[in-house]
Amino acid sequence: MSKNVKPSFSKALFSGVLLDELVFPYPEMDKEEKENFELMRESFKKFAQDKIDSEKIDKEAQIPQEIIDEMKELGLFGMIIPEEYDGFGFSTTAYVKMLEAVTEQDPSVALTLGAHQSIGLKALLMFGTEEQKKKYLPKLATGEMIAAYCLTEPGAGSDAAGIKTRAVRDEKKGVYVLNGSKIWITNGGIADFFTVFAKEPIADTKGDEHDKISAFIVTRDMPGVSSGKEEDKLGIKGSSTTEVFFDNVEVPFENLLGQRGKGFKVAMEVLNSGRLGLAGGTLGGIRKVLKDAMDHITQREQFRKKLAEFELIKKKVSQIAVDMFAAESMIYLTTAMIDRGDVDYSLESAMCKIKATEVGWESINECLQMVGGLGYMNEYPFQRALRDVRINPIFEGTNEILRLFIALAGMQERGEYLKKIGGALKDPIKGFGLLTDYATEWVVNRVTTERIRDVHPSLTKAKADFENWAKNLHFAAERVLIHYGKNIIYREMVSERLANAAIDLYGMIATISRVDTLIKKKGEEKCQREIQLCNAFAEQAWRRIRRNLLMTDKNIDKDLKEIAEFMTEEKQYPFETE
Amino acid sequence: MKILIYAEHREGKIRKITYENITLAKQLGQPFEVLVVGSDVDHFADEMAKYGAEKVVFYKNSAFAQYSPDGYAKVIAKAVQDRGADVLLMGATSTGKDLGPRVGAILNAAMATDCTKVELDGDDLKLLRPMYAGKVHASIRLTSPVKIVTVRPNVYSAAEAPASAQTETVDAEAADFKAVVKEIISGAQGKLDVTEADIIVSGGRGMKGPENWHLIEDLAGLLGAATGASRAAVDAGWRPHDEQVGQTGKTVSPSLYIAVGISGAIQHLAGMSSSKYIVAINKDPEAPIFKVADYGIVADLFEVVPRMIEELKSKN
Amino acid sequence: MNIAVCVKQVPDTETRIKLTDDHKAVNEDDINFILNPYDEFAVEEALQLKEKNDGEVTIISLGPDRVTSAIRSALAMGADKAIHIKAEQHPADPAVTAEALAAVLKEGNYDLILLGKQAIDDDHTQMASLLAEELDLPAVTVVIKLDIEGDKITAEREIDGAHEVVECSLPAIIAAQRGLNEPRYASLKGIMRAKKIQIEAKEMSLADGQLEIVEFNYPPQKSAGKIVGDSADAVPELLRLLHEEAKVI
Repeated sequence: MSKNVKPSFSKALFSGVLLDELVFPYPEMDKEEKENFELMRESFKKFAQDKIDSEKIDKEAQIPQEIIDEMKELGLFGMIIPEEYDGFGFSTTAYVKMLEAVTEQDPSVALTLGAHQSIGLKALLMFGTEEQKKKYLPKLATGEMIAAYCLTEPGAGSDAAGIKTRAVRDEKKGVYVLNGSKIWITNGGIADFFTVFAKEPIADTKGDEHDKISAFIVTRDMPGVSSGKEEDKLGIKGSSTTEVFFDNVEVPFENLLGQRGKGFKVAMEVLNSGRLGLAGGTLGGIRKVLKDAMDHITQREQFRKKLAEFELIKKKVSQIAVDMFAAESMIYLTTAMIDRGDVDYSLESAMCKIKATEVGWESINECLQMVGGLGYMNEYPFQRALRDVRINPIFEGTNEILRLFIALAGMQERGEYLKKIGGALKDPIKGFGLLTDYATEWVVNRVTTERIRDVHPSLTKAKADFENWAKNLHFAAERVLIHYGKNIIYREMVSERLANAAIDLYGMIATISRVDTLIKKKGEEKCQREIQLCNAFAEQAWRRIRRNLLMTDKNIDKDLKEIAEFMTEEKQYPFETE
Repeated sequence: MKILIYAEHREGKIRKITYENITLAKQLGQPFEVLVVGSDVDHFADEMAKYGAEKVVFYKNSAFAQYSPDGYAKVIAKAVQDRGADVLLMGATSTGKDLGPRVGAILNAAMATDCTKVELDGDDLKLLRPMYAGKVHASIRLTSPVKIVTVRPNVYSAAEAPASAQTETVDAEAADFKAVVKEIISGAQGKLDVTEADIIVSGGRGMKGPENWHLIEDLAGLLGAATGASRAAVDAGWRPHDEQVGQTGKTVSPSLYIAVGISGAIQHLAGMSSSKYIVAINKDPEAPIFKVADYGIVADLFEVVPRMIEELKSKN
Repeated sequence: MNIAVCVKQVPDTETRIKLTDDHKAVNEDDINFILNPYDEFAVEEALQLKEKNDGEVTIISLGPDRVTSAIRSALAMGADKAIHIKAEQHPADPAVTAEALAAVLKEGNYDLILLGKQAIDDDHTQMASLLAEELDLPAVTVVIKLDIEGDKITAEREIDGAHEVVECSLPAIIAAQRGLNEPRYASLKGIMRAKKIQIEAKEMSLADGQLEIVEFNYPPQKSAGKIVGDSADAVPELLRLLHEEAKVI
């Protein structure tokens, strides 16, 4: 590991190393910030209950201007902006918790705030110059300017390299001339500040020009900036989603964000940290729906029993609790990593996004199922919650792309090492010496000796399972690398399984750390539920991990691919019973 | 144990709670007197006798024509001492709650607000009072020599039991009043307050808007009921605050509470679940209000309420 | 204008109140505590008066350490100072609290003392009247409208089924009722500002009260009654039941 590289818990995990100091003890919010946050949460809750009508927002597909204005007054647009720029300097943890509270009241409102702070102004915060920050952050903090993040284009969704928007330098005028359009931009219709990614031709050392992505600050007052009509969406209808057009927009040189040609890195780093807001928000969404569902099942009787007394309902309720508990543990462990600043959290942030958004969809779906037919009626909020949460596995990086990212980034370091002995692998006889070295080191490095610190006895089984399956993930990753080499990037089904195993492992360690830390604080007696939740998750998780890892070697991937290819030719389901 | 009942009156009328407290005092089987403070109040003696008062004491001064909390508290405290009373019974009304603690402070007497049960326990009183808006009931004891008890309206019934009442008049001193009532603004004509009403018709979010409130008012009119509202309806600005029933509104115990389009949030239930009979009209069969209702109709209120109005009209 | 607002921390209205096993107390484990809702009207009124007439708003609260968060809520709305009278718990007898508050209020020489008309936990509804006698000041309770001209106060108070217009002069005590104003929501700016304010802590020995809670109980559960019908056609039957069975109409 080179000195400049920040340690990553999950990357190390793939390499068979358990950096438990990164996850123990479970972080706690700063006392003073916690008080601030709780006051704000209480104040917002009161405001929302008095003023926010989610049914109306959904129906009219708009958040009333008074609500936006009052949220500006409340300071909600400046949560993550440092105090020296007139913001409130919330840590990522407090910010994400706040988004969770806002989503609980209304997901469209939360998304408007989230798109502004998690991604819209994040590039400025992370990569902006002092002048840029001084110029824009105070206005963004008060909400005088609302921000939007403009990456996606018709031809560039997950594949950012497909960007067509162009920026051409006009040295005489000292401006970039920007042309192109962006689609599905959250806050597109109400934003005044756009973080825009565009390609510009940049000469390399030889003088040859290549298109590279750069990031720019564009404001609505620049001639040529316009936004399209509001998109008609399935859910989160109150939030603004539009196309944004750039027609010969002259952007001053000083509005370049970060270095020329380094826009892709800017885009990714913003998304890496921004994903936590979405993950936390999703938890808030579940909280609300679960409350409604719990009201129903504790009142509704069938066969002279409350619904809540049926075992199959209990199973759903407890599963939601187990999943939420794990997702929550992962999220707030990761936000604390972001706040520490000295940890690489890119994999963990992707894991949180995947876990939370999938738990969100499944849990809300189960809530709807629990309330039966009533859940399907437009009069009740369940259907709206399901529509609202559906976007989450799609945007800010689809969960599919993120899984590949987790697996490939996780194996990358090991891959670099293996590349060195790549020749040896290709020609085993010639490279025998090298291989022997590798084999020796492999044995030495074997994670069989790798353990995490001792935890409370009530969690020993979970800890042992974690250690055992962490080791197995490492072995599986090694096997996969040796077997597929570079071609692993084409074996997505295999990568997905490794990613799934890694996500479950992170969930296990996060819950173990959380509950262990809690027991130390409160005593075992007072943590019985949490111990149960932790052990239940660990039990479910290792079984999933086992299946996933077994299937990296033994699977029916080949058949599945062939069926899909056949279907692709047919473009329909071509079978019918005789 | 000698009881003094404070007779509450306004605009020439004795408030019903006074008679209810007479019923209570008789139930306790302890000697009691009724105290009337005012200026031109002699005529109340007959009415009091009708409900079973055997002794009525008037503390009179022309200054008492105007209500003043500090002025009234002083004279009541004086009367408690003069009469050697051990217990002062008042209504848990706006007046009782205004005056009771002051009398208590003057006499160093503890007070129990809004009691729903007053029982004799040897030579002591066992009192039951709802707390947390009725989410729990507290059984309490006052250890001071003089005890002040305000009783929730509608808990004990006002029963006619004619007696002949002895009267006694004291020319009371009136100190300088610090705060004085200059004017009483009556509510809408004949409008009953929810805390005193025997029947309440209450509307909630299901009413969809203030423009539909004539349904509530018409029904209330036919039943001689007061109109109430849920917090949702008040927060939405459909109804005035003084109609709000619930934890942050008023706590009521009428004989009949008709909840129209009210789902029954905990904080609403806290304020009305001690009603003797509850009727719920709501189209959501899962609404929590049905859990406390004695009678329910699961249907659209905009069909049910007009039908009720029609039926009641045809009967009258 | 030098204004004091007495506030109390209470469980929020959505809280299900649970009792300890021996029914001697309320189990506070899972309670979410808030600033008493009626006290918010008092704080808001104080802030509006301060904005109009200049001056200072001091928050005063008695209770265990946790009440500082209710004090912070009031400070976050815009109050300037705060005094926390430390007590292990809220006394059962409101007269004890009144005595302690009165001692602190006397020192402050306030022109106006505001508080909520009642705390939504113990519902005693006694504090304003008790303080009035303790401090020998005029008090108006259940106030829904307040006008102050010079020294003269005109307050409208809610009584059962009507309103009273009451006059008195400063200094005075006003107990706020819902409707007096619309309390502002604490903003992040206010919260950050409040953080910088030092809450003055006062140790005080409290008197023994004369009100004893023997035990708490849950109210008797009302069992769900009958569903008379599922359409307007059930109305005649409902009216018959109310008339003949319940005998209430």
